[in-house]
Amino acid sequence: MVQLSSAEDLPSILIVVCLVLAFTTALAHSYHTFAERKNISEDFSAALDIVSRLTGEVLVKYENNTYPGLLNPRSFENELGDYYKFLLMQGVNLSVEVRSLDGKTILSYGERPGLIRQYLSPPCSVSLPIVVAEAPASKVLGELVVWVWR
Amino acid sequence: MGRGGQACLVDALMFALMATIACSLLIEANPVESTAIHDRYAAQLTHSIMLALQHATVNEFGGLTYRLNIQAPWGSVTRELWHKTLSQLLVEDAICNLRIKIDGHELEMLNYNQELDDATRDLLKKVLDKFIGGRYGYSLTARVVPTKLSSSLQVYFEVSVESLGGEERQRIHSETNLFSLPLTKRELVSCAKGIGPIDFSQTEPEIAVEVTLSLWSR
Repeated sequence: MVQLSSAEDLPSILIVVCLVLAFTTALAHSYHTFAERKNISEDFSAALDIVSRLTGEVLVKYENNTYPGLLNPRSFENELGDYYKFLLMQGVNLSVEVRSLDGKTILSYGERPGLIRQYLSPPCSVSLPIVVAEAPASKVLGELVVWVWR
Repeated sequence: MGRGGQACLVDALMFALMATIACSLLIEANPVESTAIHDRYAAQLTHSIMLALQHATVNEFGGLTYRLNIQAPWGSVTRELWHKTLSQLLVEDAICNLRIKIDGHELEMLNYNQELDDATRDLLKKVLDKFIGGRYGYSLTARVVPTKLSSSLQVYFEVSVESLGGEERQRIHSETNLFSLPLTKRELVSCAKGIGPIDFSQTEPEIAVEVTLSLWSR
């Protein structure tokens, strides 16, 4: 049996090294794309769960009752803070904003990630219609926007 | 190139082939079914809009005024709506525009008010366009299930607002809410008394307005 040393056939070794490098890079890129897609799906799914919890329970609590879909501005100060801490303990960051139909911000909670943080862990956002009970006889139709990132 | 080099090259080509297969599998693989996530969002959006219809009031859109079918000595009587919710507006539209069918033939409406019907459609279209926009096609239907007042006499109502444009689409999600009609059986019967014989035993106990919102693929 003939033993082949690496220096014996330099062109073929070079081709082999280039092929291995190119395809390893391609494999790594494919995995990165797959993982990114997986993360986006998971974050969006988590954002949907969080929005559902916010509009059905956390932000719609009143003195004696809960009214799903009717946001209580006072819960932005009280209940949302507790829920924010609970999510933070699980490694989930949250930012919540309520905008009126003409785009003005009515309520806001939490800071949105900076540019570097956004690059490292892109936030996922979900927006849904909501009605804000500003006063017993004054209800404002708006949009609840929730950003979630890890 | 020697024989050893050729063998090495064949090995590398085999590696390249396997790496290509692995890449294509990874790129094609869907970690989570993307349609399932879109469907979840559509379901959540439908639910939120249905809740918004129950809480949002007409004054958010500048109120709504329509002429009543009542002749007063000083002229026509108008009714202004400010604090009614959008779902209450649909119920009022149903009351004002109930239709009658005798033996399958449609008669004139009990308390026909086209102005309210048109204003309600315009308002709801504005709200739905705002929230759904171009993301999905939609259809909102409010109907009173045909209610029998006698063996041949039926009352019913239907109004719909949609943005489907006649194209073939796939329905993603739909949600139905029931609102009771604030009209007693006796009141309904008294409206229809002149039209045909009424059999009280056949009148259904509850008259409800079914409001259904469906989202369709774009």
